[in-house]
Amino acid sequence: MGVSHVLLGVLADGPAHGYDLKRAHDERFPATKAMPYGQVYSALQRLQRDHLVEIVETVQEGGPERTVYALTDAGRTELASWLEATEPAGPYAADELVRKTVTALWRGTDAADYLQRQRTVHLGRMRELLALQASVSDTTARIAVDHTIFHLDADLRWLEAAAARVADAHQVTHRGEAKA
Amino acid sequence: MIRLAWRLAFARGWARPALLAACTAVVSGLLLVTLAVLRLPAQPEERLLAVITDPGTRGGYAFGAALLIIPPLLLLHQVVRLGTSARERRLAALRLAGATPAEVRRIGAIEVGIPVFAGSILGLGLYRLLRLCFGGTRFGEYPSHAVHLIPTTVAPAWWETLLVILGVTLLGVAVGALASRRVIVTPLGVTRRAAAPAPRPWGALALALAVVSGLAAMRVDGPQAHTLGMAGALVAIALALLGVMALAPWLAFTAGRIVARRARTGPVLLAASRLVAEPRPAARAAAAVGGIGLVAGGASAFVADVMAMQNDDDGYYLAPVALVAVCLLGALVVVVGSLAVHSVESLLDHRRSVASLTALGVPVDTLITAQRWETGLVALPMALIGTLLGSVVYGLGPVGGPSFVWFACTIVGLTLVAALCWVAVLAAVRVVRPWTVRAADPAHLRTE
Amino acid sequence: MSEIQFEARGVRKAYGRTEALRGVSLTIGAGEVVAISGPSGSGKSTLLLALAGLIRPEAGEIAYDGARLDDLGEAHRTRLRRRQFGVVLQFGQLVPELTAAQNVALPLLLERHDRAAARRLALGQLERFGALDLADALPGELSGGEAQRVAAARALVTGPRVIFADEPTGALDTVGGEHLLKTLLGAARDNDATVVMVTHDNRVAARADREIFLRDGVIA
Ligand SMILES: Nc1ncnc2c1ncn2[C@@H]1O[C@H](COP(=O)(O)OP(=O)(O)OP(=O)(O)O)[C@@H](O)[C@H]1O
Ligand SMILES: [Mg+2]
Repeated sequence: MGVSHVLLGVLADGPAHGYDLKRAHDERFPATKAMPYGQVYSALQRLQRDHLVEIVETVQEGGPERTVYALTDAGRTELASWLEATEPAGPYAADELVRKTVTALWRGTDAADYLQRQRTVHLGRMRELLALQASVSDTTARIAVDHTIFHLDADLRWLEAAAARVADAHQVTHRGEAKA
Repeated sequence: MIRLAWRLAFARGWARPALLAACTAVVSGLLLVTLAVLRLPAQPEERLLAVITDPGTRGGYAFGAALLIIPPLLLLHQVVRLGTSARERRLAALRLAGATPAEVRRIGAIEVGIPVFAGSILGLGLYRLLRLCFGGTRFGEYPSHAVHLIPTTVAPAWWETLLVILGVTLLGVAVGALASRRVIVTPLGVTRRAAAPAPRPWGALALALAVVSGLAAMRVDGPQAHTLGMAGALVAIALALLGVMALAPWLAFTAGRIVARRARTGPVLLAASRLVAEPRPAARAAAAVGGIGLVAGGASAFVADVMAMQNDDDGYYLAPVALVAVCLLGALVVVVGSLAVHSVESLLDHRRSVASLTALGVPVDTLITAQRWETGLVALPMALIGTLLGSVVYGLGPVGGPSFVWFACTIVGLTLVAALCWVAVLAAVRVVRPWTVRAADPAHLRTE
Repeated sequence: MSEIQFEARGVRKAYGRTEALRGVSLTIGAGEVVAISGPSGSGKSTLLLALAGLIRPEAGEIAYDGARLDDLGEAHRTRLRRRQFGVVLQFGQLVPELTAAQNVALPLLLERHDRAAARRLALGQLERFGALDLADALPGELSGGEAQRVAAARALVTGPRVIFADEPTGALDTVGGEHLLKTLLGAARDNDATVVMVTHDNRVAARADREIFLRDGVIA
């Protein structure tokens, strides 16, 4: 599902065209590959089919005709439940974790709560891995488990840093507003 | 508990306990001398300095001997504070390890109490030694020496001696407690109560009271006039000493602020800002200088007075003046100790910042110049103000009006005291030089 | 669940204008291993110190074994602490003038134990933490990690009911930290002791039964 939830997240801020959606995605994930238009439109079609988004208007500003999409109530619910659910702590969910966290942070509202619950899931997994590590006697096996633990640890640190950066940015904007 | 305190008392080497013991030895020795003098009958059966033999001036002599304990007490205070930050760290760590505040206080008291007790017993030996060297000679015996300052026909009673030993020990412990009173020892390091307020010139109040009681003393009459006058004069002198010394922090702060604003060179600015930031330690070190100045000023006016009488002085007046001068020099040596200990303390406490200054490229010589300024900025004004005050008050009071001789004597006194004071500052900084060089080693940036 | 050992309600603590704790409520059961985590400056150490009776909160209550801890007199609290609590802090906890072994024996000496017995117990604890060869070193001669091991040995020497540790593995590498933590937690389990530890290290937090996460002076 991945990318479509990100698009839902962008649309939660207000209706947008496909091009705006692509730009917003690329802005939110500067470290990943830019999203091709094709992927945006196929994702939007799927979302429309599932009644998660709807077309609100079609505008023509000189150039080609543009369709403006908006979130439906079902879309809003879907986004909320996606943001609500924690991701399994590794080993292959990292991309989805990043997508979800960034989307949640852009939503702003209950990101902290999500991060906290995600942290609990990760810590739980780490606890299992530590138990596993204690139960194996072979040093090489322990080292192999270390690898997974360290990656989990990196994910956890990243979650913390994300929360801290959001808090920082909030403070900066608030201060900016207060001054203005 | 005692074992623990014992270990802590000597953990930082013998210098501190030895200095503490030396200070208290001088204090209890001097107090024993005072008591012995007070025990003399109206007609002593021995040959002594005229001012001691004469019951009229004997009280003043005893009083002077007692006053001499002030410089060593100030030095004691200084020594107790030596390495304050290390001590505070240690006490906090003890609290964390589970020692109650009372236990920590007890450990601190024992830590100071042991050397101080040893010192006050040593004072007994000092008293014996002084008696041996400067004791009076029984009439009829052939005097083995020329100076007779301490009675040998009478001595303090055993209980008086015991009282002195216990009292001085308690006094030392009390001074020790006083030195750490600003510190609430919590298990998590030391929290000072809110930053100390800038010092105020309250000492001036004591000085005013001194003038009032001095004037009152001169005007009393009636049957008790002599006793009252004497008491009033002594009270006035004590108040004046107290006032001058109490002025020291304010003077240090003010001098620091004035100079800091006008400072052109690094060392001067460094010295002056340190005084503004922490006027009290430097003031404590230099306080005795004010007292010395006061007495010296009074003495120079007195000399003028004696010279004005123009009669043949057979040493009745001038011998005590010489004695006072010798005592003042002795006190000045103690002051050198105080100034040096203050510099060492400030070096130890600011080791890191001193080291970082050298790391920044400030040469050691600059640091030493700064030390000279820091001590000099307090000590010199204290000395001059003290001397001037002593001379003016004595000159205008009992003598009744300025004269040319008085003026000349005052100038000579001022110059002499200022010069000696500067010598003391130089000596103190010189004594501290090895510590300064060591503190300036940037290696301190790594340790601790 | 085991019986409640610590109960904090609405605990507040400010340093000047910095509000370190802004109303923290929690319970800790006897024998529980609890990790306090959160961003730097979120009040973790402050909470630990308040629970250990080392600082007094301005408002709120802290009960230990059902009795108020925060309004106990200083001497009383200190004695309680040295008999029932063991504390390992971030830094500055060893008496600089005493050797490692003497530092470890200190709580016993304050309880007027026999000197020889105290030293024996102290050496035993040092050995447990692999620090026996440091016994006669002064704290100034120890590395940060070594000092932390000595401090941990001291925290355990009285067989405390509660062990408080502020970043116990902060100055150690992964393997060294693991060893110290295993020893600490093992000793706690042997005594049925409660453990409250502040940590930045997720691996340490994961060893706890429960995590308390602080953010800006409140539990997140
Ligand atoms: N003694 C103190 N004086 C003034 N402010 C303090 C003091 N101790 C802590 N603070 C402040 O209180 C807040 C919380 O401090 P605390 O030490 O509890 O944080 P922490 O979560 O342990 O941080 P770290 O992870 O960095 O150790 C911080 O903003 C800190 O600056
Ligand atoms: Mg902390």
